Amino acid sequence: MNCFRPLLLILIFSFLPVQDEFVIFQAEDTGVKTGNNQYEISLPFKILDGYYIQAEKGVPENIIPTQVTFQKNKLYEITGYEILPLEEKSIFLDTIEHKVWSNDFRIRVLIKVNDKSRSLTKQLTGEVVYQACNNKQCFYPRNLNFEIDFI
Amino acid sequence: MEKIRKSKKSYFQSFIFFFIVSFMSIPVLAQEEDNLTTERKAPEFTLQSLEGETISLSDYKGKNLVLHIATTWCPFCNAEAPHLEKLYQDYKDKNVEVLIIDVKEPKDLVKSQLKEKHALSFPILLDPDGKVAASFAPKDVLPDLSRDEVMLASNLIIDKEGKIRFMSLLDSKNFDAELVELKKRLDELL
Repeated sequence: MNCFRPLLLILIFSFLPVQDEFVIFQAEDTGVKTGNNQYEISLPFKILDGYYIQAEKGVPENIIPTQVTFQKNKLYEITGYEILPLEEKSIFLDTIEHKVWSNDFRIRVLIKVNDKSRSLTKQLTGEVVYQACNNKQCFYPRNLNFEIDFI
Repeated sequence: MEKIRKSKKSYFQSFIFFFIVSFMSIPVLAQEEDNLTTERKAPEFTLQSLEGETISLSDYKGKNLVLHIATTWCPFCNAEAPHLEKLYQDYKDKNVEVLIIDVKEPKDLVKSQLKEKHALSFPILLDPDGKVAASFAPKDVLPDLSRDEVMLASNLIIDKEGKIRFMSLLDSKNFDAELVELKKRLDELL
């Protein structure tokens, strides 16, 4: 009898509606380059096959662009960042043009550390806001958190 | 006592069996029942408009109603908005009304980014928790999405008796910004 309870729970939760994510942070492929007190960190993200997200720039006023924010950290200063899509294309909806990304994108972050924190383990945390569509649907904007440790 | 225990176990096993079988049969049933074209009764709703007016579906009894479900950020909704206004102007003397239900967005944003941006002259209603939009979603379509999300950029025609006579869910590959199919169906109804 007892073995049926977990089975029942698994069955119930398997069929409950879930809010899909359409972008995945691939933490294991993060790249870190160092030189003096400068770091260049490359954060890789995968957009699921069959989906696209709005670009960072080149989208009409109402459309939600992909944006990234970072949490402040006492051990370092973020001196710059850029989002680098693997594939950007223009789509037209009626007469409205906007740019969208599919496949992968990377966020390149430039960091300057002070001498004291150079040997410490530091954390880079932030959030990507994106709005995805596929051939059948557009989805509510999602907030994707990411976090990596680096020395 | 042992017999009762066995009987309980047997009932439980039967329940699990029917539970599994009923879920396995959902896709088959979904194929057989075309939810989008069924002339089902539209769910009743009462919502506030941008102007603060309380509007119910029952207010449109005796009229044909074109209903569009939108958000300000939805690319397809933005592309359709000017064509909805044109449809309203072309059909308002033919006993046709147009409504937008905006899902889960604040009034000021909807006013500036939907009504004023596209110069829409028909009412826009606010569905703050998405429940009204969700009530229109066919239950077997896109089952892994929240129900109000299924309905974004959808168009419906609700006839004089309150029956849904047309429903289109978003299909971006065959996107019909100019509402050609909807107008065709509307013309058939008039």
